[in-house]
Amino acid sequence: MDLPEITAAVASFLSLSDLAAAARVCRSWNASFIPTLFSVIHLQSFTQPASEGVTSHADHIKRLHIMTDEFEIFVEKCTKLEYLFIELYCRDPDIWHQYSTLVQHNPKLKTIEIRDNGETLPTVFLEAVSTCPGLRNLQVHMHDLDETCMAFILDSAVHLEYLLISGLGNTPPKSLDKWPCFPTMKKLEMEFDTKFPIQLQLEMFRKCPKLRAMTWRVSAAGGISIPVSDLFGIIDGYGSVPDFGQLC
Amino acid sequence: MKVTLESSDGQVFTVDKEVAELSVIIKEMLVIEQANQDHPIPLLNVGAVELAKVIEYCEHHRNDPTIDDDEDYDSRKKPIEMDDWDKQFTIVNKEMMFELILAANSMQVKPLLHLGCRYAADIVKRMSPTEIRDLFQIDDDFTPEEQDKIEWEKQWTKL
Repeated sequence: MDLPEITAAVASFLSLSDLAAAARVCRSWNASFIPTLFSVIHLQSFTQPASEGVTSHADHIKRLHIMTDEFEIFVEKCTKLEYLFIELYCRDPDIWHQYSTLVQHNPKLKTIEIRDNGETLPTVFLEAVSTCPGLRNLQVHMHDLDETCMAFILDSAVHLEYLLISGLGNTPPKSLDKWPCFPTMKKLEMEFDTKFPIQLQLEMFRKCPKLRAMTWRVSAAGGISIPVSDLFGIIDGYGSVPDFGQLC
Repeated sequence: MKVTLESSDGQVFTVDKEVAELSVIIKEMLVIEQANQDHPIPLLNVGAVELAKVIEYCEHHRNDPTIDDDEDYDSRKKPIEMDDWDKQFTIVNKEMMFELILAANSMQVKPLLHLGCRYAADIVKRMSPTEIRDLFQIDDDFTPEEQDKIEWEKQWTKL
């Protein structure tokens, strides 16, 4: 049981409370099971694990879900993140500064998902995201993003395989000339009836040569006509027909 | 094509090449020594009893699709396929199963390692640290300071 590859495999079958018990058996079991115990952390105001424990083992966290901003973020030690999920109602701009530092410390991040309906724009955070070298998957569910925020998202999109932009009030840049191509994009999801004009959305789809799947969400009912001929024009451009997902 | 394997205590086993190739280590060795082998492949960490059992497992699973190696975070949620044969196979004593885990690990027979680790996990599930120590005859070697430090880990049990 003392070989790391074996304990890691055993740990994958255990629940959190089983892992916590195994970690308290002896020193060598502690060293074996602690990394898995702390690999996935949910910061929630009601069930958060002891902050002392999370802070001292932040170097093991690979997936971090932040659902409260009451928690002090342990930026220095937390450097192995692969997945970051943030869902809050953020009123304090300093919070976004903290999270942007977190992103800058975590070059292994592959996926970032943010949902926020707060009062402050995550401009600094999205700027940090746009410089994240290994990011492949970005999902932004937010209302009222301004043009600068959208520009940072599109800067990220140049390296992404999957992008989701959701939120009716998103304001796109005036043109997409700054981004000639999104060469690695495989899946693109957008809200159909946002401030993002249909022509600009179509242009985005056109700029993704490797696109395999697209989804348009329609939030408000009625009054919108889908430019079918333009859509088929895009599909003709692909070698194979993409998966239409929830196209309405 | 046949391949011969030699256990750490000198017993020689002859098996079909595709059966032996369920072991990543043997597969790699066969690639390196492309010429027909004149001598058996030595398995220095695996005794005859365990090797016979590993071969029995590989014979039964010779046509299984290979599992990919990708680290999958959701793997703890998916139940792993375990057929009746596998269940029968794991009805051995604890010591034998741990020897088999070690053998599967050193020969890199991934599905058997998986099966064994699942068996080991089932043993420690819902046990307290004290019960685990008693079962495996492990000494509690934490210093009092460390003991204080790991107290908060109890928090997880409330989840």
